Amino acid sequence: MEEKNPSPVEQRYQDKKELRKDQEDGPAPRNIKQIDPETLGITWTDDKESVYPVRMLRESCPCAHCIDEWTGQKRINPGDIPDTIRPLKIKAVGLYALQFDWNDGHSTGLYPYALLRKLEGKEPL
Amino acid sequence: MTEQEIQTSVMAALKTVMDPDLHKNIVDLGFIKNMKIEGGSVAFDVELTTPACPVKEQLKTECQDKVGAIAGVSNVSVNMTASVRSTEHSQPVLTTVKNIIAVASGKGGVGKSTVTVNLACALSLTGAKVGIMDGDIYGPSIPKMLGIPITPPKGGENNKIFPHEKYGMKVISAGFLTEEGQPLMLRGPMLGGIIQQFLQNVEWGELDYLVIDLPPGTGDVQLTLTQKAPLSGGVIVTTPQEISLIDAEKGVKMFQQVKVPVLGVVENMSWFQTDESDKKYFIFGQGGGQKLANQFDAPMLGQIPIIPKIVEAGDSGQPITITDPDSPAGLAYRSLAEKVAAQISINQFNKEDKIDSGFELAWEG
Ligand SMILES: Nc1ncnc2c1ncn2[C@@H]1O[C@H](COP(=O)(O)OP(=O)(O)OP(=O)(O)O)[C@@H](O)[C@H]1O
Ligand SMILES: [Mg+2]
Repeated sequence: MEEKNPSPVEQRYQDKKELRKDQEDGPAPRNIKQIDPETLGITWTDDKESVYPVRMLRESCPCAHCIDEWTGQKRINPGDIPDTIRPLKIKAVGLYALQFDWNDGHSTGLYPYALLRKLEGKEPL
Repeated sequence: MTEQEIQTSVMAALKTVMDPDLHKNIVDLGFIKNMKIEGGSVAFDVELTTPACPVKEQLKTECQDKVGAIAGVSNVSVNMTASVRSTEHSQPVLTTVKNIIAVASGKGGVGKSTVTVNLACALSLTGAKVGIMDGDIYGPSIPKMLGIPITPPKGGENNKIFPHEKYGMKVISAGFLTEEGQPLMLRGPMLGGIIQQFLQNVEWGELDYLVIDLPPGTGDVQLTLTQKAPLSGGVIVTTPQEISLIDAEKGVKMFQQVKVPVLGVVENMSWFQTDESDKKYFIFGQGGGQKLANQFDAPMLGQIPIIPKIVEAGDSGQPITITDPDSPAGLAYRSLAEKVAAQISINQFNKEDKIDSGFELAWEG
């Protein structure tokens, strides 16, 4: 049997659709705190505890500047983001996402909770 | 199968049982308690957040069916219990009361006190511990509706007041502070003093739900009560008429102004109906309560028909929900109580779970 690979555009559309679905009934943060200068911690409504290196979060920024809207290719390469990257402020946006103001001046990325769940355990590039 | 394996299958099966109001499975909600497995016999408690849960029986049946279908399980015993949670707040009054419900209407005479009394009775019938505060200090009618003689409440040390008790509920009213039949000749400051006493000095003991009958309208007393009492939410009573709806809108806005969640809208006197027939006569028009609920994105909690027996019951001091819980009126009030209790639980879960939408974290270092 032949498995047809979805095109990158189609794949990205599917991912987005899944994200939207998750936004409606997926877990949300119950508590968000700074663990150390380089680490963010989130406790979720399903009791899961996640920790995130902030550099990885910056590298995973889902905004149109950082990811090619058409190919889904990351525009950020290993080494692009310095070790000194830090958030300045983290804000809830609506009931489904966090927005980060970064100390490199970047702030256009919205991190839906479902995306943050997927980034769990990921290391910086 | 070993008992360990059975337990794993039972939990997996129960994880597929969803609470329809809280949109989560009953295992993750922490409802399953005291699981006992002996051979093929499985017994456990399902601890709900209110004894007035509208889907209690359905949940029980679903648990029984799903666990009963597991290979190796020969016998299932599901015990439904409830532990009412408290609405969190930091106000220093009414600390032994878990949830406080204010019943408001813009206009007078729409049946607010009747709803208060029957809502409280219906909650109490489910086994919850219930109190009523007659906040209508201008025209207290709760004592009459419950048939409580006008006698001064017992006092205790430190200005404590002990509420009266009737039909298993605790009741306080400014009516008890007057001679029967005498109008309350109180001026503003004294009225404020009574409210303050009601909030601070009444020995309610442990209550699951305290229902407050607010005076009609949206004046000072209403505002004081809604600000100073740590309310879980407000219920708006209206009739289907345009004139009542306009005033009810003001009631909703009052709650919004003091950031008290609106639990929903009750439409009273929705239609006329006799006990003998199912035919409905829509005397005051149709759909008004629903329209108000839609306008504020608030739940529609119920419709109460016009039923002559409700008037008799009010006059005789024997609420219809107590004397005839299975009559159309009794059923309407009981369904209302379930909706109100469910809405309080829903609000608690939404709040206690998630960070709120205004969350901000400033990074240090
Ligand atoms: N569903 C109903 N069917 C028939 N009569 C009703 C119904 N609800 C309330 N009544 C009657 O309407 C009258 C007014 O009701 P009630 O005293 O509860 O209104 P209220 O809004 O508290 O009035 P007030 O503004 O005077 O406090 C009472 O005689 C009551 O018995
Ligand atoms: Mg009244």
